[in-house]
Order: sequence, then C-alpha cells, then structure tokens
Amino acid sequence: MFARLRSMWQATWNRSRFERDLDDEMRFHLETRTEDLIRSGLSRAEARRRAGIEFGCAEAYQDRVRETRQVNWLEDFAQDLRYGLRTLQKTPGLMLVAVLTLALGVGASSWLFSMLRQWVVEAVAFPNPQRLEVLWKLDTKKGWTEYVSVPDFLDWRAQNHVFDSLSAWKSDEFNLTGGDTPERIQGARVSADFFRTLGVQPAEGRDFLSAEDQPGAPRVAIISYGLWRERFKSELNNRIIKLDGESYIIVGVVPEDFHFTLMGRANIWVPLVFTEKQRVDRGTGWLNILGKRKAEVAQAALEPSMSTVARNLEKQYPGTNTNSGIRINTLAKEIGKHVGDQAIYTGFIIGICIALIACSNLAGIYLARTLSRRKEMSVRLALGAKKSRLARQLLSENALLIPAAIALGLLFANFGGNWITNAIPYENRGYLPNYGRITVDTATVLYAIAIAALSVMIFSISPVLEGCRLNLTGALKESGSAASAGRSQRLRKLLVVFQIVLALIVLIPAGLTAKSLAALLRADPGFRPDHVLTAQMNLPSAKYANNFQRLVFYNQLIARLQALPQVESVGASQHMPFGHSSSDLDFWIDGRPEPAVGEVPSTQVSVATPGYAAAIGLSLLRGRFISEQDGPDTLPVVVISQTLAQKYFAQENALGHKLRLGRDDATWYTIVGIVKDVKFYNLGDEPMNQSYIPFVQAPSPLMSIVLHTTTDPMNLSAALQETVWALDKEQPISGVQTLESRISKEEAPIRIFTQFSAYFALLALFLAGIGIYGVMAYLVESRTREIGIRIACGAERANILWLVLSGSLKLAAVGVSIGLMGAWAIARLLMSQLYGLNTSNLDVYAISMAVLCAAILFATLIPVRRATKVDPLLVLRCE
Amino acid sequence: MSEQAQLLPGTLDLLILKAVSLGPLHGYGVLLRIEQITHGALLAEQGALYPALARLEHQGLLTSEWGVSDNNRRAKFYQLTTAGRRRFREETASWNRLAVAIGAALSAKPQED
Repeated sequence: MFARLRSMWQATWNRSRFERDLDDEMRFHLETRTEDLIRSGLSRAEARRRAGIEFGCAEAYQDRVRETRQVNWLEDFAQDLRYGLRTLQKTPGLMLVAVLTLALGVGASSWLFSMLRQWVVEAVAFPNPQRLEVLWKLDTKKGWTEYVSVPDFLDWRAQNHVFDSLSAWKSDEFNLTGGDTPERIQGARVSADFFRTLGVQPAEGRDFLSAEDQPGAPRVAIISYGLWRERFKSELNNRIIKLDGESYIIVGVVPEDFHFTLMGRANIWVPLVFTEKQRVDRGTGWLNILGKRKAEVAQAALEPSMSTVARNLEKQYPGTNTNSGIRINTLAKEIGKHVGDQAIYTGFIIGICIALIACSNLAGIYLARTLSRRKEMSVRLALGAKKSRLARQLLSENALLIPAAIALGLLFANFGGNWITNAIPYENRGYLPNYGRITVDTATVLYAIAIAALSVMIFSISPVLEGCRLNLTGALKESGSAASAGRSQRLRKLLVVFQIVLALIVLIPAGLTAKSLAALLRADPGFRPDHVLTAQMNLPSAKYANNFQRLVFYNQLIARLQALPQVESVGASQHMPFGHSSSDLDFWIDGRPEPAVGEVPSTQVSVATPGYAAAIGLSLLRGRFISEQDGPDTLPVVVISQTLAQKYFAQENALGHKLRLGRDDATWYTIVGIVKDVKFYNLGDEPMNQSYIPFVQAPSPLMSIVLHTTTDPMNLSAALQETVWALDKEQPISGVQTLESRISKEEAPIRIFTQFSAYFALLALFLAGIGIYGVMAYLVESRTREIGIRIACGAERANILWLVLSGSLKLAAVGVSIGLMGAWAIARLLMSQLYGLNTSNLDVYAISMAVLCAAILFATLIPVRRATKVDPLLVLRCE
Repeated sequence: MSEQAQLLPGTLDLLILKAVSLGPLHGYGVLLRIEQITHGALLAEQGALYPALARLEHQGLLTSEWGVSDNNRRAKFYQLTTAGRRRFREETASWNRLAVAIGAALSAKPQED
C-alpha cells in the first residue's frame, strides 16, 4: 500500500518530470525499434511507419500509465468538487436544509463541548494536577466527611510519608480599608506553603515565607491579579492595607489566570496563623486540606498509608478521634463534585445526541438524492465508469458540505451561544465557565471538524455504497416509482427510529430538570422571601473589642432602621438563610444519658435579636421567640427548630428542657420556643437542627440585618447604608440585596441547567421533526402508485389514511421503546444530583413521550393528507 | 513469421517479471526478451507493455532507473525488487499448477463401459 502511495505522490509532486519521462521512454522505444527495422533492410520512412503501427496509439497508452499512477487524483478531486457544486446548485433548497441542520448540530455540540471542557479541564490548570489531593476527616461510622481540626492537621503533616507538602486553608471574608471606599472582599487564610503546594509562582512580588504563618510573624497578604489592577492600579511598593482593622503588607500578586475553584471568588490570601488554643483543640474541625502527593507514590497507596496515621491518632486521642479516618480525593474529583460532574456528563451526551440527530437528517437527505440519481449513475456505469471512481465522486460532493457546515456551526456556536447566555442575568453568569462566553479555540475547532467529518462520512457511506450497488438493467428502465430497493426503505425506517431514540434521550433529562426546578421553587423555605432586604456586617475587633460596644452599635442601628418609613420590622441574626455563613455546635440535652463519643448531635446556632423572627417571617409554633425580656443577666434561653424538637423531644413538650451548646460553653440554655425550619443553603436542603440564642446574651460582631419592607426592598438600600455610615463611616457593608435575589442566585445553577436543557430539547425536537418529516414524505411518496391503485380499486380514503399512519406509528413505537431505555440510563445519572426526583418520574416520561409522539404525528400529517388526496388517474398515467 | 498466440490477460505481467528477472532491462529490451523466450509470440501492440510496466512499478514489484542504453541513448531500466521476486515465484508456481491441471484434464481418456 505504501509503495502505491509513494508512487502516486512522486508522480504528482513532480508532474512535469513524470510527463517528460513518459514521453522519453516511449520515444526511446520507437526510435530503437525504427533503427532495428532500418538495420533489417527497410527504408527510414518505412521503418518509422512500421514502428508506429506496431507500437500502437502512444497517447492512449500514456493515459493508461497516468491512470495507473493515479497522477490525476488532484484533478479528479477538483472535477468532483466542481461537479458537486453544480449538482448542489440544482437543488439548492435541499442542500441548504442539509447544511443548516448539520451546522445546527455541529454548532450546538461544539458549544456544549467548549463549555464543559473549560469546566473540567481548566479547573485544574496547575503543574502536575494529578498529584494534587484534597483531604477530609472521615466519620467512618456515618460515612460523611468533615473539616479538619488544627492538631489533626499538624499531626498529619508531621506523620505522613506520602506527601511532598500538606497545606491548610479556610475561606474567609474581610473588610478591606485603607484607600478608597471600604470594601468587603472574599479571600482565604492559607498555610505559608499553600501556593508552593499548588505549584503557582506569584506574577509580581513574592510568595509567603515559611515562617510567615507562625504567631508573631509580620502580617502579609497576597492579592489577586484583578484586585491588583483595579484597586491598586498595578502598583505595589509594599502597599499597606487594613483587613478587619489590622495592617497588612501586600507582598505578592498571583498570576492573571490563577483560579482555584474550591475557593470561589477569593481575591486575597493571608497566612493562616494558629492560636495556642486552636493548636490543642482537637474537637473543632474547620480546615480544608490540600496536599501534593509524592511523585513516586501511587494514588491508590494514599488512603491506606494515611489511615495508619489516622488509627494512631485514634488510639492516642480516643476522646475526639474515635471513628475518624481520612478521605482523600484528587483535586479534579473534588472540583467535579463541587461543580456537579454528572451534570457535565449528561451535557456531553446531550451534545452528541444533537449532533447525531442532525447527521441522521443528512443521511436521509443523501439517501433521497442518491436514489433520485440512480438513472444517472447507471448510465455512467454502463458507459464504463469505474465503481470506485463513482464512489469517490459521491463522497467528494458530500465533502463540500463539511467546511460549510463547520464554519456555519462555529458561527452558530459563537453568536447563538452568546445570545443565549446574555439572556441569563449578569450575576448568575459566574456559574458558567468563562462567564458563558465560548472561546472558539483550537480544541473546539478540532472537535467541530471531527464531529462534522465523522457524521458526514458515517451517514453518507451507506447511501454511497447503495448507489454503487445498482442493478444496471433495472435502473435503466423507466420504472422510477417502482419500489425503491427494499434495502433503502429499511435504511430510512432505521433512520427515523434512530432519530426518535435520540430525541427522547434529549427530551427526558430536560423534563427531569424542569420537574426538579419546579419542585425546588415550590419548596417551602420556612421564611418569607419577598419584601425582605438584607445586609451583612462584621464589626472589626480592633474597634469593637467588647460585647458592650457591639451591643450598642447594633441596638442603635436597629432602632434607627425601625424608624425609617417603609420599614415594617427589623431584626438581625448572626447567620441568615442564603447568607453563606453558619456555625454548628455539638449539643447535649439535660437529663439524658451522655451520647457515645463520636455520636454527639450538632445543631446550627445563631444569635438573633427579637425583631428577627418578624422581619424574616419565621413562624412560631410553640412558646415564644427571643424577646425584650431576655437580657444579659436573665435566664439563658434558646429557641429551637421543629426538626430538633421532633427528633429529640418527640413524645414530650420540649419547652422547659435545657441544652448545652458547644464544648467550650458550660451554660445550660432553657428552651422557650419552637419555630419552623428554614432552608439554609439551598431550597433542596434536608431539614436540619437549628437553634437561636438572644443577641444580648452573646453579641456577635458578625450579623446579618434583615428588614421587612412595605415596598420594593431595594428602595431602602441607600437608606440602609446611610444609616450604618451615620453610626460609623468606616464600617463596610456587604451583600445588600433582597432575600429573593439571594435565593435566586443560589438556585441559579439548576435554573441555568434547566434553561439549557430546554433549549437543547427544543433543538432536538426541531431537528428530529425535520428529519422525520423528510423521511415520512418520501415513504409516502414512494407508495403513491400503490395508493392510487388502491383508491382506483375502491379503497376508502380513511383506510388509506390509517394505512400510512399505522406505518409511522409502528416506527414511533419502536423508537420510543428503545429511546426509553437509553433515557432511563441517563435519568439515573441525573437523579442523584437533582432535587425532588426521588419519586417515580412517570409523569416526566409520559409527557416526553406524548410530546414526541405529537411531533411525529405532526410531521407525518402533511404527507399523509397529500397521500389521501391522490388522484388515481394521474398516478397511474405518469409512470 | 511464427504463429502469434493471443496473450491471456495477466500472463503479460508474468512474462515481464520473467524477462526482468534475468537482468535489468529497458522497455524495448523487455519486449525483445519476451519475443526471444516465447520463441516469437509477439505482443499485438507493443505500447501495451508500458501500462503494464507502470502498474508493476506502482505496486512495488519493479524499480526503475534512468541509464544509458547500448545505442547511447537515455533509457529507463527496470529491475525486480524483493517483493517482485517473491511475486514472480508465487505466480510461476500457480501457473504451473494450472497448466498441470488443465493438461491432465485434456488428456483424460473416455471411460470404458
């Protein structure tokens, strides 16, 4: 094979030499023969004549040599393309449809590919990403993971043999002052070797020094590129800033493309310094751990090795470390869990399905064209064309479509995709990688080319083969409408079934996500989301060092806010729903046996002011909420949520019992009220234990202000901020937004996912509909003669209708049943990640099938109506 | 002129391979050699040799080189490759088998009874 290719290549490459050689060789033959004939006695003229006759037609032989060496392949290809172009021009409508459907399929598929790829691949854009691991403390009994305590972290770091380095980090928010407006920014506290573990070098300045996370070290900070450019105008020079009132020197800037998905929108990093108290508190877990595996250690060896460490700690510290193991995930897997990798896989599958639907449309079109050219093909075959040449020509014609479809498809992907993402509100776009802007980069283009070429090739191969396998005599006869090869009919039916299957596979996930979203939005949040304005503040400890000062500030603030017009009620709580902060404490109930170590229950705890319940619409079920009668010196009280009451006081009245909250607090709080549960992180949350204690008894510097307003809450945002700044002009306020917008931001990912699923489902239906229509139209048309005969023989039009319709219904039945299986498999993938899908989803399946069948019937309707209007005389006459 | 047999298609390739196996030849030389070893069975048209030579070279059974002929002219000389030699052996064996079989069939006596 290679010899032939080489020979062909050489001939084409140096065509003039090839031609010259060919000439020379034959001329040599003729002249030598002439000389021999002269020597045997003929005259020169006679010899030449004889030699010429004996040789034969040199031109013809030269042509055959050229053919053998396939030196014309380039010219043949160009000829095929020109011919293909002319053929396309003859049926522009059909070809336009072909290119458009392919472009739609390629475009949608490429867009999905680009998005998902960015999520998956670029989330881990660090050197040696496969060696980056995330470590959790594992509750071996319950099977869930927890944050890690400081002593555990330090011991893991000291006692392991499998990591180059282990770093800890904790996300945090800071008040940034010193300069222009006070700002509240996201950031993280990290071990000094954190960036080294990741393998990231600062773009400006320097990394943290190893000693900088020890107590007493100078306070330094590293900031993000965006922050550096915008707030500090790209200048450093040991800039000093104040974070929460403390002075920090900025020493470095991370590179522009640095992105650590698990830290969200962190813009500043400071060294994580452990206090003495934290170093011995083994029971409180609050750290995230990142590690870099040693190059020579295998992934599979990590957990066994670290579990030895965990077991040692368990033996040494039974009080805190019983049933404590270590769970290790690669960073990629952790990010995948964070982002929802099953949704990503589903997305990939949907993208491919769409592309395939588009391509099977193409196949149908090709089949139609090929069969209508049967006559032309047969004539050419009869005239001596080689089958391989014909096949090559058919393929080349189709090849014309590929670049057109790719170019159009990428255009669709770019502009169509951007148009879709522009429909998403600005603040939610952050959930999409690269803010939903597709970058048509090399990989995407390659993918588009691959998909387009693959689909065209796959789906045109069969019709091409079909075209070549013609029965010459049969085709040359004028029997155009005689039953087309049964084989091609089967092929077309197969195509329809295929498209139905694919359409169902795309429809059902769309239906499931829609159902999940509906369930989510219906879910009772436990509070009143409308007409509520929120804001968060963290009083810096430098300025508000003691309880009294904090008390004064917040009490004054609440009083002033209450006085504002349009404010119904005001309250504050340390943590509020959808506020991105919470604290959990273990709790004990008086009079109950001490639970086994490792099985102490925990509850969310928040300090709250009396007005909070009214402001946020928290329903009181029993007893009372926190009120004015609770003071700093009165009985310590607690209000618990319904879940806590039901779980631990099912048979009795919880009121009057006492709780101890947290290991460090010996106080027994008396339960004075039970309130409804609130959804805290997500509308799809499982109910959890929640408790509230009076603000006056434990004033927290971090509080969320909640205002219940009579009009649009945002009307009051300016007034809210002015009131705060009237009290303290340097106090940063963050998150001034309505509660509704907080919820909608949180639910944005599922909403976006549902939107996109719906778009793609519509696209799939549209494409499948076109394809089905085309095939059905053809099938019906091919039976026109038969129908005409039936009518002439007296068949009722209704029977004809049924005849044709039943054909398409049969196909639909087959397609739907196969499609259901495929869709069920995908549904299982999704169900684990989406909310509210635990019940059987028969309704989704039923609706999807109904929609699809409706589309099929609609697509069949037009050709069917035409079929019944057939005039038998006309049909039988024009053969 | 001796009797000229019609060359069966396919046998031309075999004859070319045989001719070239005896030593490198240019196209005209191959023609002469074939005439010589078949004792006069000429090709109907001499030019038909060249597509055959081109095909054999295209398939990698022959290589060619430009050189100088006996009469001091530039000519293209053909030679067998290893693959060509192998193919020649195979084709010869298969032809011989065919010849034996047909010969046996033709000389079969009618049954006595």
